[in-house]
Amino acid sequence: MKNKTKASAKTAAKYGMLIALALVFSYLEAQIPSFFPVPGMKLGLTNIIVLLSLYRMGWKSAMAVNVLRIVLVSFLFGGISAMIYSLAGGMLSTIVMILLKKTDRFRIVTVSIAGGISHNVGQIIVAVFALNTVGIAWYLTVLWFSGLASGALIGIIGAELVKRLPEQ
Amino acid sequence: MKKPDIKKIKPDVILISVLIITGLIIMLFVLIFSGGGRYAEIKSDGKIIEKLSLDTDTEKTIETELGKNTVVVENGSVYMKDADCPDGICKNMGRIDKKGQSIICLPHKLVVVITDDSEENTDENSIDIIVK
Repeated sequence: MKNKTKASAKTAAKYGMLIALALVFSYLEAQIPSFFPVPGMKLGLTNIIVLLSLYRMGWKSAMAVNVLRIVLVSFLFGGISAMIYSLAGGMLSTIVMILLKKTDRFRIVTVSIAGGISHNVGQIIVAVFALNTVGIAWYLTVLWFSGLASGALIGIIGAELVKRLPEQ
Repeated sequence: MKKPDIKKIKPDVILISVLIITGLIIMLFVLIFSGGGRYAEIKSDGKIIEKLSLDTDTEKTIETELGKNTVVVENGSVYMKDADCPDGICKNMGRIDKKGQSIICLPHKLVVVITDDSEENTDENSIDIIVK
């Protein structure tokens, strides 16, 4: 990091790789939506990448990777409205995970669980404003627990990855 | 060995417990407040033939030997979109969304009435179809 020009080339490559991986995960996930009964319920595979960048490259990288990933995915597969939902969920979960990580008290799994839940909460907040209905309240309970479950799963995978990959 | 281990795990356990409990509280709230979900009951000749949730927009055509009626649920209210009855009064009854309000199509012996869930148990005609 001392030599800026060298570092930037390396950083660019790393970011490129991480975002590419995140894109692949996003694409994979887009292929299996019918597996879950409730729209919005998903595995959050890309959160593995966010966790990895958070724990191995710092919070700025995690945020950058996530935002870039969401923008790219929305342009590729989604649309503008999908982007607003994703951004709300993605930003909220990333911020929550960054803050929890900063306390240095929680394991990766816990951070991931909180991230999973806050991701879904962020999306519901947007939905409340967009649809202007209270009918989605029950949705929140479903997505709360699905976020918890998927967050735990992703957290376990992410923790293993972080353990095996060296600090860069 | 044991003490530092407990210290390490504790904040995680606390946070996850808090998250689970919060989820359960939200669930409780939702059950309490949306438990009395509103429905539009469609009765033909006094019998409930359809029960439509007001939370989801739907369009339902009821066909009996007396004629055809199209009931529409839209933005939490109900109206009779179409009917082939001779007077067409039901079409002019407008939108209803409050408990107890009704749209009546006399020639077809068809009634659309707004109810909430709490009435379900006291109602004699048990519901056998819920359309969402």
